[in-house]
Amino acid sequence: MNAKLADLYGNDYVLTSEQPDLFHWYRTTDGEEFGIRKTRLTGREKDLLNALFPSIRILDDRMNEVQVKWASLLFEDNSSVELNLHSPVRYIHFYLKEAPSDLTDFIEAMTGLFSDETVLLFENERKGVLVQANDIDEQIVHELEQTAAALTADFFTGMSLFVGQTISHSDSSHLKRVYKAEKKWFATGRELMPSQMVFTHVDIVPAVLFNEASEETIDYLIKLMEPIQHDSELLKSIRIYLESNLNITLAAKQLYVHRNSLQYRVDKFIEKTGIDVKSFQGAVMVYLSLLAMELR
Amino acid sequence: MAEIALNHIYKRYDNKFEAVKDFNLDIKDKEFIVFVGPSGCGKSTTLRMIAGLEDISDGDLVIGDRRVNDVAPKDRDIAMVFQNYALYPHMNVYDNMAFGLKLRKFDKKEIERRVTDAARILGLESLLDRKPKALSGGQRQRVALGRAIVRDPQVFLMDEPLSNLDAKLRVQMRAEISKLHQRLQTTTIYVTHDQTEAMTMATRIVIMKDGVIQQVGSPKEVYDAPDNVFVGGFIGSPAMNFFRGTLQDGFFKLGDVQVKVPEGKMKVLRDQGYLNKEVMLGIRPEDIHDEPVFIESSQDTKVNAVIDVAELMGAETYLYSKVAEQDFVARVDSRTDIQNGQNISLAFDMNKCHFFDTESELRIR
Repeated sequence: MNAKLADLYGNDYVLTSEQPDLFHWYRTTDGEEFGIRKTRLTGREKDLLNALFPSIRILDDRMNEVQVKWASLLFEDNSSVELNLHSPVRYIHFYLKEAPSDLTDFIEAMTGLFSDETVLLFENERKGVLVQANDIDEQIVHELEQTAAALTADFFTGMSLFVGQTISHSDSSHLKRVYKAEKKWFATGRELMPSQMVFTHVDIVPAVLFNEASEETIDYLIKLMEPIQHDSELLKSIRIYLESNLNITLAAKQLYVHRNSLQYRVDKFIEKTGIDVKSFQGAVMVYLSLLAMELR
Repeated sequence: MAEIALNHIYKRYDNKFEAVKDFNLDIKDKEFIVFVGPSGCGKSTTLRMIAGLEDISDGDLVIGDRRVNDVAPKDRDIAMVFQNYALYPHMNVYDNMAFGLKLRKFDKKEIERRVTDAARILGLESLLDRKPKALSGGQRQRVALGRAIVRDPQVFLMDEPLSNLDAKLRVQMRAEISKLHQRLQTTTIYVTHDQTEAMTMATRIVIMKDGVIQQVGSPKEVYDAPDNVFVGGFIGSPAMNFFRGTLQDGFFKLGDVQVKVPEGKMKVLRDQGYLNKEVMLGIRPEDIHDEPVFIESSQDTKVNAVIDVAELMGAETYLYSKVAEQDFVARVDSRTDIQNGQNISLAFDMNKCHFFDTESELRIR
C-alpha cells in the first residue's frame, strides 16, 4: 500500500521531514509513519487516508512539552518517558462520529471544563484522550453529559466519552497498560450501547464482561427472566427499582405509581422468577439478567 | 419555509438490526410534530437521522426542496435541544447562547442582538451572567432552548427536552414551549415517551412501535379513533380498557356478561364477518359510567362490578374492577362516594367503543 502511495504522491510522500508542519502524518498498522504534503491533499483524500490510517500528529505544532511526553507514552509505545507525576491521574477518552469543522473552537469548548493542567491529546481527528491530574472530580460525569450534548448540538457530531479509573500508580508502563485497556473497553461500550453519551467503568465493565461471555452464559441469564419476559411494565418497574438502589419510595416516584403498587410488583416478580431481588445477591443476578436482555 | 419529507426511511445497524422501518411522513411548514412511543421504538433514531447525527440506511430525507441525506449536519439549518440541558458548565448564560453563533462567525453586534432577543423571550435577561450551576432545572432548560432559538433555524429538533424536570415544572415548560412555537412559528419535531406531552403539544402525533409508524394524526384523531390496540392502549391515561369476547345476537358477550352493540357498529362487524367470532372490545375509562341517569337509560349495557380499588384523584375517581375476570378501570366523577369492595352498577357507552381484530389487533371499520 505504501509503495503505491509513494508512486501516487511522488516527492510529496515522505517518511521524515525537517519541516513536519507542511505534512499530514499517518501511521500504518505496522507502525510505519509517513507524511503527505498538506497542499497535495483534497478534503476527500484526507477523509480516505484518515479512514485507512490514524492521523497521529494532529496539533503537533501546538503541543507543549507535557503533551508531547504523554503522546509519546500513550500513542508511540515509548515507556521510557519521564512524566514526574505527583498526584493520581485519570483518562477521559472521547470519540467523535465526525471530525469537528473547527478544531480550535472545539478545543476551547471541550477543555474549558477542566483546569489548565489537564492534557488534551488527539489520537486522530475523531478520537483522543484528556489526561486529568490534580483536579479529579467525581461529580464530573453529570457535567460531561451536558458538555457532550452541547458539543453535539454545536458541532453536529455524535460524541461519546469514557471517564476511566483513577490511577495512583505513576509507573509509565502501568499508565500505558491502563490506557490501552480502557481504550479497548470504550470501543466495546460504544458498540454495545451506541446511544450512551458518557460511560464510566461502572457501566462499561459489565458490558465488557458480557462481550467476553459465552452465548450459553448469556442465554442462561436471559432465561432467568423468561417467566416475565412479556410483562414490559413489570420489567421496567424492576429496572427502575434497581436503578433507585432498591429504594421503593424513590422508584415509585419515578414510575408515578403508589409505593404499595410497586411493592406488589416486586413481590409478584419474586413469586414468578424465584429470585429475591430485594437481597443484594438477587439484585446483582437480576441486574446482569436485564443487562443481558438489553445487550442481546 | 421548511417542509420536511421522509420517504421510505430505514435505519439498519451493522448487526442487521432494523431500528426504523419504512418511515413515511410529510411535515408541513410551521407544524409541531411529536414522535411518541415506548423506549426503543425508533423515535430518537429517526430524529437523529433528520439531524444528520445518524446515517440513513435507505430512503430519502428532503428538507425544503433539497434531498439532504448527504448534506453535512451543520448545513441542514436545524437546531437541536436535548434531554440533558446541553450547556457548557464553564460558560455563563450569555456565552452559552452566543457560542453557536460565534462558531458560525456572526459578528459581535449581531450575536448580542440575537442573545438579548432570545433572553427577553425566555425571561432570562437577569441571569445572563450566571453559570448553569447557579440556575434551577427549568432555567437551565430555558437556556438550552435559547441556544437553539438564537440560531433562527428552519427546524427545531427536540429530544425529550423535559424528561429531566420534575412533574410540576414539566407541565409549566410544556406550556412555555407551546407558546414559543406559536410565537416563532418554526417547524418543530419533538420526541417524547410521554403521551400527555404528545397530546397537549402536538399539531400531529406520530405513534411508533418497534421502528414502525402505528398511526399519524391530530391528538383528537388518535385518541378518538385509534388504528390498533397498541395506539388505543398507549394514548390516554388511564389506558383504554380491552375485553375479549364474542359477538352473538347483537350483543358482545364476555363470560356470562353481555352488553348490547349499537346497530351501526354491529352492521360493520356483520359485514366484515365477525359474527360469532372472538373480537376485542376497547373502551376508554371515561366511557364507563356510574351516573344513575345514564345507567337508567342504558340497561342493555349495564354490568355489575365489585370495586377492587377506588382511587380519588381530586375531581375524578378511578375505579379498578373486573368483569368476567378481565380487569378494567372506570373514570367517574368524584362526587360519587364509592368505597373499596363495594358492589355497584356501571354502564358502558357503547357508541364510544371500538372493536379490534384479535389476531391483527387492527380496528375493525
